[in-house]
Amino acid sequence: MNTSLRMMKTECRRAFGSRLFAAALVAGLALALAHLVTIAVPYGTGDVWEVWRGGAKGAYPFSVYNTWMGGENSSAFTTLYYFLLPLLACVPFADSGYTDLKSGYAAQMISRAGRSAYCAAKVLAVALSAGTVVLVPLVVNFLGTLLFVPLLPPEAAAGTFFVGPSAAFADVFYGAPLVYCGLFALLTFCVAGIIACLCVALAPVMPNRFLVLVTPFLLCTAASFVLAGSGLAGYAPTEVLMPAPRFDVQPAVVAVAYGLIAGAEAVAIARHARTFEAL
Amino acid sequence: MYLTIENLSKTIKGALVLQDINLSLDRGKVYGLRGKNGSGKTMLMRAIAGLIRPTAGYVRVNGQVIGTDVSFPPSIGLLLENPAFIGSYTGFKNLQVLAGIQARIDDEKIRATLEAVGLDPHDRRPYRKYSLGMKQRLGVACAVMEDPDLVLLDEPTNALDPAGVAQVRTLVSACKQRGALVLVACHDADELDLLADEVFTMAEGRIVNSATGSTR
Repeated sequence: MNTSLRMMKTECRRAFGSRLFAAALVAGLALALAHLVTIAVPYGTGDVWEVWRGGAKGAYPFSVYNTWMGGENSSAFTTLYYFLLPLLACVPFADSGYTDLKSGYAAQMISRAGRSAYCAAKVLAVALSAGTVVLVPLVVNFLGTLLFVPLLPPEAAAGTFFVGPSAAFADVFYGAPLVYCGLFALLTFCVAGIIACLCVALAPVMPNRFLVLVTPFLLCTAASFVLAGSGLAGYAPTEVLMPAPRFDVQPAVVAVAYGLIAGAEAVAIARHARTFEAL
Repeated sequence: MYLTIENLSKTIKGALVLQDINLSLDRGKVYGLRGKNGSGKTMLMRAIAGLIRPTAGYVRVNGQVIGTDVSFPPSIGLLLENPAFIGSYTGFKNLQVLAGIQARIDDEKIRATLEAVGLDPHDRRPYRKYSLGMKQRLGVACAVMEDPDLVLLDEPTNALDPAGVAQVRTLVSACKQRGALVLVACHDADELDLLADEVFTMAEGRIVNSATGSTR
């Protein structure tokens, strides 16, 4: 194993072994479980499913696909989860770039591994920990919902599913719903990583750790307000992550926007790696 | 010479912090740097370690120019002013993490180094609960644990009790014995006289004086 790989292993161990990672995971899981208890369980044990189980096939019953946290967009816990997502993504390890620089620990690591290996390992660990911490609660909620609500395929005619016919990837949702959920899980994982890496890119110019941590959240919130005011609410940073979209968006626009943000972060981090000085 | 510095200068925000430094240092010797606070001792060490880029001149270690041929000296142990470690890890785990990056030494060597600086390798306390002296000892252990060819120690006896100072002296001697080049920055003239074969005095970013044992 070369130095770069060992450096990545070291940073990932720091990220996934930190108390902040555990705290962020617990916070995300608390929202996921609260959603399960208040939404999924009542649906699964409610009258509609009782009638369906009794053989009287009335209205198309609720399915996991319109009951789990990502499958609906009207409950308080879903709204809160996606609102807090940029903060949850940053809590585990995103501020470590800043703290390493300020404490001198970055110099310790860099003198052993080199600038590029350290920065690459930092970005990887920050992105992976952020992606994991936002994805695990969604997966747990999906699996938990499966315990109470059957995995009935989505039916457009039922009118109870949140993915409209003109929504992005609607054909995938109604044709292969698990693939659709996987697609949004992947998108959420990547975007959480991009959001958290913003902290690494901004670390050299930030005055304190608190600002490093909350800046992505503040930027996402500000962008949501600006986009909502411009009639582009569907393109708000976390709105595009919801598998049950409130607005129709063009997936290509979303991909280009996040691609540009990730590119800008990569340039900023690479520039900092090249010019780093332990002054 | 193992370490050569030629016409090294560094300007930070318009201020000249290192001015035209020229030094030739060889392995198997201990060199001292003395000078007032802000005289440039730490900055010179950072330049040698590759942690700052010279505005002019260069540092050559073992024939390779730092920042051009290699980013950092290939075998270096470094103690900067304030040792920095992960607060929630024990001393042993901190060293294990850093040693793991280059994987040159095993856990036994880490334990032996911790004992050599007077720390208990089995101490379960996290680093953040260490006293100032214990933090300094861990910093010294980190600098020497991998038996580097170049050892840079910036104020290694800061916050140490007499027993700790004696342990640092022993470690510095051991580094010299095995053929390492040791550069120690210290404001305590008596301490440097005891440790170093040759002492350089710095003032306002320049080397203003050089003295060996017989000329001090």
